[in-house]
Amino acid sequence: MRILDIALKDLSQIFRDKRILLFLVAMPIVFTLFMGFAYKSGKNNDAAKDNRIPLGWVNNDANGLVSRQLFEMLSDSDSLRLVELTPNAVDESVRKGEVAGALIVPLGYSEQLSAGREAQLTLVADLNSAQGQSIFQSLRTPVTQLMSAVEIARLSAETLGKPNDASELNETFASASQSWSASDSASLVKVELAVKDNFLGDWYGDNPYNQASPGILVQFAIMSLVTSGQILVQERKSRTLQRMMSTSLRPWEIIAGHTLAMFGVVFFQIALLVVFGQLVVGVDYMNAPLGTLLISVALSLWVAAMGLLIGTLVKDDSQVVLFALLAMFILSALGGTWFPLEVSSGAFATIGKLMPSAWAMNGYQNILIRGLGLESVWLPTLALLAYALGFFVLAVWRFRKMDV
Amino acid sequence: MSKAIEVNNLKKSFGELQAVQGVSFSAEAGEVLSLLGPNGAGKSTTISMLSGLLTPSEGDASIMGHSISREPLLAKAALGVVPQDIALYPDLSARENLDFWGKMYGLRGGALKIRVDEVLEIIGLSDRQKDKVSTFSGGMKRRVNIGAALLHKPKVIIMDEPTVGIDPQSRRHILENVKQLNAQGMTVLYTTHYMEEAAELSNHIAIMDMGKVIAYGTHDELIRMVGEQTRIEVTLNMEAEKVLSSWRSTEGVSKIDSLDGKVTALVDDSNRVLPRLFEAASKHGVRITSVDIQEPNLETVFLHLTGRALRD
Amino acid sequence: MKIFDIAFKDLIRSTRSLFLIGMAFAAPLLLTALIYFAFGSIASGDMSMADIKVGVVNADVLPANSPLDVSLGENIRSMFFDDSVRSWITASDYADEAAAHGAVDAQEIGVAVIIPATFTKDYLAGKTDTSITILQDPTLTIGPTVVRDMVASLLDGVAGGGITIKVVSERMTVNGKTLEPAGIPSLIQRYINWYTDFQRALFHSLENAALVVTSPAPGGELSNDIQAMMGLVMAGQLIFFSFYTGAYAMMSILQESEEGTLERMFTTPTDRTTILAGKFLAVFITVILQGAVLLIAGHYLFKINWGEPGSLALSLLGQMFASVGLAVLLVSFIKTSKQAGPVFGGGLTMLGMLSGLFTANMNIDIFNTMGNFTPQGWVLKAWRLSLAGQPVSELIVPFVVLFAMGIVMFVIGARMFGKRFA
Repeated sequence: MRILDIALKDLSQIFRDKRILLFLVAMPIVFTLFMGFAYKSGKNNDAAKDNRIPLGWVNNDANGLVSRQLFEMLSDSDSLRLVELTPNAVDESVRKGEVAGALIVPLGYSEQLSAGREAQLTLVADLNSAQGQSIFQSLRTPVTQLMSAVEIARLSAETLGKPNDASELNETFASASQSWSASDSASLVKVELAVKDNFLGDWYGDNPYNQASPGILVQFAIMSLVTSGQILVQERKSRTLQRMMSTSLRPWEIIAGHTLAMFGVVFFQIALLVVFGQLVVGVDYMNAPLGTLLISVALSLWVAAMGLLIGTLVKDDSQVVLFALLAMFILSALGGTWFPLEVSSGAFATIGKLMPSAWAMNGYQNILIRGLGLESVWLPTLALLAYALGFFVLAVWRFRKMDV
Repeated sequence: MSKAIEVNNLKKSFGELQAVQGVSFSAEAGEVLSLLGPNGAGKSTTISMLSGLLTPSEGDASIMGHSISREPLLAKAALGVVPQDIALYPDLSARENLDFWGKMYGLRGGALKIRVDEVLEIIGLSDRQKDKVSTFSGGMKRRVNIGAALLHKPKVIIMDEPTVGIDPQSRRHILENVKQLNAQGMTVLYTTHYMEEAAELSNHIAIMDMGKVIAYGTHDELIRMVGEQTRIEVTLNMEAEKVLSSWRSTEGVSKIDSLDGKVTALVDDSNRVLPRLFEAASKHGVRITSVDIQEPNLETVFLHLTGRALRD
Repeated sequence: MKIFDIAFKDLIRSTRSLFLIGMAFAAPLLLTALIYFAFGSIASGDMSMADIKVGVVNADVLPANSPLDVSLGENIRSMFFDDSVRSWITASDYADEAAAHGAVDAQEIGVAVIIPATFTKDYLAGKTDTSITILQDPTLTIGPTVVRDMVASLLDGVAGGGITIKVVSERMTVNGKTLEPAGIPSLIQRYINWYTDFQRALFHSLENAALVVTSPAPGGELSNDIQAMMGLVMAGQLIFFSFYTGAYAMMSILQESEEGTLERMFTTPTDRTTILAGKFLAVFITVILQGAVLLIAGHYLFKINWGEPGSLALSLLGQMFASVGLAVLLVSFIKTSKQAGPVFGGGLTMLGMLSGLFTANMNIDIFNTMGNFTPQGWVLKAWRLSLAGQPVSELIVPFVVLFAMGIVMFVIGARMFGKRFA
């Protein structure tokens, strides 16, 4: 079969240069280890030390009842650690990262509130940073409860007909604050991960490689677009493509032969990474062996076919790199490897989920993180195969129109 | 007056390999000197040293009296080098290429512009000057390749095998170019392994082999080295060592060399010697299937000096 | 003078390379634009998220004699079906936990909120062992957190109502009065009105809220969130492609060597140092030019405020030193221009990833740490500061580090070139 002959010829050419193994195997393994290690060490550090976020505390309302109450609430916080600051030190400390943010209580805060006037706390923080956001979120509940106690005191004093009685207001405030301390709505909400009952894998906790291993695997598979795209360029350069065209081979057979070769290369790489993941870092690909196989085959076919299409679109090696890098970035960005798709806007996320890279990740995640079985990979597999077929057809079509 | 090119005991070794083993020759101003020799004889290494690409391991050379090791920039300024392969920017136009190389030789402004116009005229590409070199035919590229070495009106021009692998027509064009340049007073150092070219162009020829100059002289002087000997090429219908040994002892035969069933002999007078060779062959029952008689030429000289054919 | 001739010739050639133009200008702008559109348009100021798909299993029933009109479960359920959240939450009902679990597995929903049958009853009885379960897709983080906060905040609202009644009746008693049951609903209504307004302010109009947020930068006003984010996203792209462009432009020395023009230059009366300097100069100019064009394009296309002129200039210069230095070092290790594709593509992408260039807007700790060891990481640090409106004085340290890194890499690379081409 001549398709196979072409594929075998390609493979022997590709593997002649042993350095390709460095790219195919060594680099992804090193990166998997590194990423997993990075996640893991992040976790360990957290457990060892006080990982509460440092929040600067500037109280210009030193003797105020409300501010004192706020201080007590925050001191008990599980997520925040108060660091007392002088007003002048705030910007410097935040900038240097000594504190992730600073909360400033204005002069006369308690008095203003008691008098029924509005008063604002100021949080100095960069809401674009993860820590800034966390601080803001962590402050919401205590501030809400504090303001609620103030409001309840006001309501109560009004109902009693003593709206301006300071001592009544203060006592009611203290009483309401205490009630708030006793209540704990958050404990009434329990969060569970939807994983199979007997399934232990969970990348947040047990094995960081559950995320790192398939992530790097997909990323490196996509990188093979460069190798795949170069096949046709090389053939054209050495004028062997022209020679091949002069034989009775049909265009689709030529493309199929090359696709088969690249499929072999990518699949070989994926297989090694899967074995590495399973045996060395304990990622349970064998939770659904057939599922892992299906997704891996489909992923390899898609990358091979898409690379060949790139090969039919370009003139030389450097253009291959341009197209392949662009495709890689777009697929990575849209496929949700740079940031979780859940944070992007509706249309983008919808398009992103349709990307072949996202389907591949989804397939592996179903097995590794969701702990599902073979039935969960049918859809991602079919989607990837559809992409592979589509790119293959496009490649053949372009190849027929190409001037060699 | 000093010579245009003076090479003195030049040596270059790469590790164990001694590529050039003490080469000396010189060229008068205004002459064409050819370096003739087979591939690997050390011609390119010698030329690379002269044009400043390689540093000699030993010895020195001068271009227009400027030592290549002590005054390399002055030597280079007097020198134009035409590399064997096309060395141009394919994505720049012919004019842009010439402009750039002119600047590299220190030309500027109006003088540069005028000179580029002249060179475009010389190489006959004035009408295509704005086209990118990548769109040119092989012969046109060669012409630009030569043109780029002429911009600064060098006193000496080195051409390294400029006719390798091109069609006869372009080859003729280049040979004519060389003659013209020489006629304008340029000293030309020409390397080739085609003895016809060396014979046609040169005032003097230096024959190189195994990193050494093994002969130097005018064309006629070199021919005279082998005397009036004629070269005979004979094909036999079988390998026959006995025939060869009886031929060697035949009167009038000075050298016998056998390669792939082909026997090459240097003889004094073919009219007298040939019948004796036929006679000896038939005595041993061997038939001569072809005979080729060549009057003495550089090929004969090389064979005479080295015992090997020039083309290998 | 010849230095400039060589540099100028290189620049002219660069402008004729579709590839270089594509990599230097088109690709970073294209990718930034992609992310720009990913997060909705700035004009609308709408930082909308993908729909959160919520499944609700509400088994809760209103106990007899309850002071409430509807069960808490129903309150929670209707919160997810409310018109006000329809733009970002898609809710659906499920009959039981198994059905909801199946839907999460099939990724039809990301989060399931499961309310047990006796929740209202247990809650009102003060039992603490009752709970609402939030079952989430293990790959999601944001959606589930939002849903959890919504439920907790609703329960806080309810708890607040309870506390109001409790505290008011306490105070009445202390003052020798009694809280009439008829007065309770209006009291609760007033509290709920306050609570609703308060929550709305905290979520939607921070400037009126009890907690206002300001940026830590001195004088640097925090612009629109999305603009700040775009600044970081584009900075990441800018840095990656600056390094790529530098490396690719530097590669012209290999190309020249393959084309034979480098040797030819050596045969002209031109110093080798001059030739190398000319080639380096071309790369410097290319990188600076590219940076300037991208900064201007970013400013006009994506409304990015790159920072104070001085800080911006230091960042750009630092970026130039680092990318030229790395370019010289990288290319000095490569033998042929053919090797360049995979080495640049793979190597720079990896370094970029590790330095957090592609995740600049997320400020991930691991990458920040890694970034301390890579030139790209330091360039990102510089841009972060400049984008945050920091004064020049704050940029000096990263600039000095980049300058030093650049010089070291440049010297090592240039020496290797010297050896190879001398």
